[in-house]
Amino acid sequence: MKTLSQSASLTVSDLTEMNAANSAGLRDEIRASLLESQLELNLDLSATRFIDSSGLGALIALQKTMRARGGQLRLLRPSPVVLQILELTRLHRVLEIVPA
Amino acid sequence: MSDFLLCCPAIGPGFDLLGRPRPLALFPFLGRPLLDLALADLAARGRRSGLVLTNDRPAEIAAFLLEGKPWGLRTELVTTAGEPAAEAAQHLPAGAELVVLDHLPGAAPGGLWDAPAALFAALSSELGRSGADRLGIVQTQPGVFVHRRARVSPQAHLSGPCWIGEGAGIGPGAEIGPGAIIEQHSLVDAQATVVESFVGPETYVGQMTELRQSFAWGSGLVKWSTGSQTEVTDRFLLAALGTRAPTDGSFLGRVKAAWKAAFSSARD
Repeated sequence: MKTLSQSASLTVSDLTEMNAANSAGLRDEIRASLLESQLELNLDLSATRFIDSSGLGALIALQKTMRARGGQLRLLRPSPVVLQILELTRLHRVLEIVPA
Repeated sequence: MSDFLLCCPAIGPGFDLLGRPRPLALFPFLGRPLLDLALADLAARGRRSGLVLTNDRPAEIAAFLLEGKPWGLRTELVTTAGEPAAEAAQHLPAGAELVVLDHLPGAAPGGLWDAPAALFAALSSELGRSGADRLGIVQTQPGVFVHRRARVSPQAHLSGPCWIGEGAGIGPGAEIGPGAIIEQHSLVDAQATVVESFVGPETYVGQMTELRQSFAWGSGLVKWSTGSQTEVTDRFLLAALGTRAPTDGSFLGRVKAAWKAAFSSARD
């Protein structure tokens, strides 16, 4: 996982898998990396080759975190398989997606 | 004397997941495997005996063929090392008709296995052409074909064209169609949506899920419009029915249990 911290935003990339084994850790790590001034959290999912319900749960939890501070979560360039799972679960209507 | 040579398809790019549950020759088109349709067509055109070439799970093909008896044919199965169509020339008897299973009978040759989008186009075409032709199917409203032994909740919404096979179940609030094919013994749970999509045999489609422009068979999910394919590991979203929660063991028991679960959760 790579992070790019700027004054108003945090961008996270190189998330290759979001599964039951790592999603809670990723969520906590991202939350810990957020500065109070950062109201925009960008998750670059272009390299994500696998996501399951645990990964989706982490996305929802992070969205809740950002909303609670008046900010927003954006999913950048989700890979085709991530898009498939988001669509299957209808979360593409709930989460903000910035396509490639 | 053989008067036809029939080449089964090999699994090509983009068909890893769709070719996994069974050989592509047995891919169902509205409840009938492609090989069944081809053999029935050959028999109807007066053919009597022939060779069937395959390189994919020959035991399953042999079990289905039963030496051609169900079609009044005599068939011999030949297992090839490579793609059957590429080896057809060395097996083709003089004067025999060559049939490559890359199209539906009556359709232009080729194309079926070029890409998942081409396969879905063929399925849609078959739905428009012979949706009502299958045994036990009735048209309940324009373009809506449902098997007599399918169980469709009165609270489900069906929009033509769509086809629901034998033993399939559709839960309350589910939206099926347009352009939906639900194969035999599958279960689409409550509030799920299936539009321009194919649900393979014995597949569970979870509550409130949404399938658009997709093939779903077992845990395999293929977006035909993009060619993207993935394995769904959460069984409450998509699964082969045989892998769901343990029941009394029989397939019927599993379907019954899935139905019970679907309707009890809908009421709770």
